[in-house]
Parts: sequence; C-alpha cells; structure tokens
Amino acid sequence: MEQSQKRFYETPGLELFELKPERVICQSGPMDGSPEYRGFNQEETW
Amino acid sequence: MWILIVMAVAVITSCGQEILDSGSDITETAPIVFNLTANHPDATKAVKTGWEAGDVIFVFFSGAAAPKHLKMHYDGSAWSSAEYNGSRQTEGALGLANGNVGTMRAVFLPFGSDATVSASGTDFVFSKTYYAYYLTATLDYTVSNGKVSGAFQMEIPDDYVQFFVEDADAQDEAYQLGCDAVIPTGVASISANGTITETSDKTAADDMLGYAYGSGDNKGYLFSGKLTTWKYGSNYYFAKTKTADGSRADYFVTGKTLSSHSAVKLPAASDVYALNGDTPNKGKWVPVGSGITVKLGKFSGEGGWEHFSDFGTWYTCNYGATAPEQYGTKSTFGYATSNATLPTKSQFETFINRCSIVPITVHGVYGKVFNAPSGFVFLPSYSQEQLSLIYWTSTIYENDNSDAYYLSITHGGSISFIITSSTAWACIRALVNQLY
Repeated sequence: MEQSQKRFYETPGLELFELKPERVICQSGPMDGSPEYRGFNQEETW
Repeated sequence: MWILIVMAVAVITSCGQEILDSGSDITETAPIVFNLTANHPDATKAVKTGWEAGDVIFVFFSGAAAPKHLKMHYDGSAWSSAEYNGSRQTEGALGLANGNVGTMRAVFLPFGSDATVSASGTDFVFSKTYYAYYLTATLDYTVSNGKVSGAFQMEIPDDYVQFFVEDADAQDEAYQLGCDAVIPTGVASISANGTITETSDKTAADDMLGYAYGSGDNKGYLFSGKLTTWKYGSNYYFAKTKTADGSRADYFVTGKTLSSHSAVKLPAASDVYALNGDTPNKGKWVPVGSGITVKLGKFSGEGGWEHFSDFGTWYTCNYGATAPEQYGTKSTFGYATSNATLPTKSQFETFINRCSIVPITVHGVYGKVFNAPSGFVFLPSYSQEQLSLIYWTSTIYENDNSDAYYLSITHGGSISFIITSSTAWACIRALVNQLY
C-alpha cells in the first residue's frame, strides 16, 4: 500500500476510525437557559 | 489488474483485523483525540477576566489513575490538549479505551499553570499548594470513536473573595494581606473520583499570600481566600505585610460589605500615610510598628481653605510591641511614666470622644479600632471577649497618690477608666503630643 494511503491504523479492541485534521467540538455542557456561571463580581473600590 | 483490485479491496475491508505493513514498522496505536474547550465564567468583571495565553487547565479522569492527567493549554485564542508527560497522546497512556465512560474534573489554578501533578495514594496533588481561588468544572465523558469531547463551564467555588492592590513592583508572595473575615484557602488534593479537597490548615487570623497579576498601570497583587463568619458588620481591617522584612501598613474601612464572589480593589500600595510638614497626607495605608506613630485628626473646609484639627500623634503599637495587635511590655505605673509619654486621663477621654470606636479582630486578636475622621489606631483588648486589657494613664488618683487611673478596654464591652494601685501591671499606648 502506498504511503499516501496509510491513513488507517489498527487499534486493537477499538473500532476502525480515521484521524481527521480538523477539530470537532461537541458542546456537552448545559444548553441555553443554564444558570450563570459564577465568576467574581464587578470589582468595587474600597 | 482485476485481481489486484480484488486484493486491494480485501485488504481494506479486512484491515480492522490485520496489521498493515509496508515493510517498515508503521504499526501504531492511535491516540484518543481530546476535543476539549473551557468557558471562563460569565459576569467576571474583576481582575483576571478571561483566559490568557499560557493558561493551563488540568483535567482528571475517573478512569485514569493518579498521576495520569491531561493538560489543556490556551494559546491566546484556543485550547489544545496534551498528555501530562507532554508527549503525543497514545491510547493506553491514560488507560482509556473506546467505549469508556466516566467523569472529568477540570481545575484551573490562576497562578499555578506551571504546577506539576503527582499521586498521593489514589489522590492527585499539585507540586505546590496555592492559597488562592481556583476555577473548576466537571463533565461526563465517553470515549466514542476515539474521541472525547466537551466544553467545561468553569466556576469559582462559593465564598471566595479577592482583593487587588496596585503595585508596579508586584512579585509573587512578596506581600501578604491579613483580613480576619477571610481564610486563605486553596486546592489540597483531588480524589480518584474527582472530588476536590480544599486546604484546612489556615485560619482567619492567617495572611493571604499575594500573587502578581497584570502589567503596566494595572499591575499589582491579587489576594484571595474564603469568607468566614464575620461579626463586625461593615467594618474591615487589613494588615499588609512585606514578606522579606516584616514591614507592615494597615488600612481600616467602614461601610462596606463582603459577600461570596466579592472582588475588591483596595488602595494602591503607593497610597501611604505620611506627614507633609505638620499635616497628614490622607494616605490610606498607615505604616505600623515599633516606634512608628500616626497623627490623627479631622480635615474640614475645602481646597485652599482646608483645615486640619490635630487629635494627637499616637504610637501605632503598645510599648514593647512590634505590631498593633501585640500587648507589648506591661509595666508598673512608675516604670511606665519613666519610659513613655503616657496620655493623661483627660487626653484619653478627649481622644475617645473624638473617635468612633469599633470592636474588631486583627490577626485573631480582640481589640478596638479608634477611628478618627482622619487616621486610626488599633488597641488590643484581652484574649477573651468579655475580659479587659488595661492601659496606664499618667494621671494619679487625686485621693490617694499610690493609685492611678488606667483605661480598661473590653472587646465585647465598654471602655472605662478605673483606679488601681500604681503597682499593678498594665500596657502602655504612648502619645507623642496632643495639642488640645
């Protein structure tokens, strides 16, 4: 098999999959309507 | 040709079961790809908002034993993930496999991005304990098709507060800040299932360590810790100490409220009390220590017509003490009058009448702040709230000159003048001069 075709790798115990160059982001956090995530409050001067 | 195609197809469809071999060893186990990002908490308007290049988030997996972990790095615009040993991710290094499920715990140490992680039994511990706030989040994970994805919604735990002091020369841990409403707290360890255990070795009497943050005009020290029960209402006393030499300046403020997630900007480090000739400069941080005095009084009028009423120049510490909350050296009346300028009973009375007197603790010591319109001093009372500490006046009792007046200060009670034998032992808070 030519080098250019070597995109597939065996991973014992894993299903065959292909590495993709682009990043896939899945938002698995809370959806819209979620509560405000707490940071510090507006800074006040004393 | 036809035979070759068939063979090629056979290889492709069966290569899930066979090792591909070009003659050189290209076999490798594929890495799990971590597509993780993190959102900084909303509504953060305090110091250190948003992520910065160089920030690191440590990610701990319930399916990966200590010390294995993932580090997310922020490059200024996006997050990338790298295995804890910095090498390319390889399946097996974290012990995860396709189909695994579990929980991830993400931890961000604002001043500890260069920390390392080691195992303490089955717990994860950082190479250094930072007594400062942290951001954290959890997410369930599934290794699906060789990927783990998710977005952490990072939060600051409840009850953390922060204080910022501008200082162009800020360096990590060069200054400490004491405020008895706040306990210095940080991450002590993380358990195998991702539970964070915070430190518990500090009390409200301990100082927070300052960490340098910012640049240019906005450079300074960030101090943080967790609120504890506060009994003194809207009054707060801050003691700022330089680590290297113990030099200290204090700031007292009234009419303020600290609550969970408060972010407070205190006076700049350069805003320091000093005398311009005979008149105080209104500097907020009052230097305190052995032999250090402060002129108290009241400003009235405005601009060129401003007038300063002098309430007297008082020592910031008791005789023999090096900090305002120390009792110092107790003396009999005779020794006291020969070694310090004692206020008369009348001078004490005048001073007391001109100040608001506020019970508070400083480094855990009970006492009262004598708060003039301009300036303040702290006089300690006794180690129990309802008992008193006594201070000599220079006034002999008019009916028996073997007795003299002392001032009794009770934290949980009143201030009063009491007559006692001049052989009694009492503290001394000296007065340099009081004009009227």
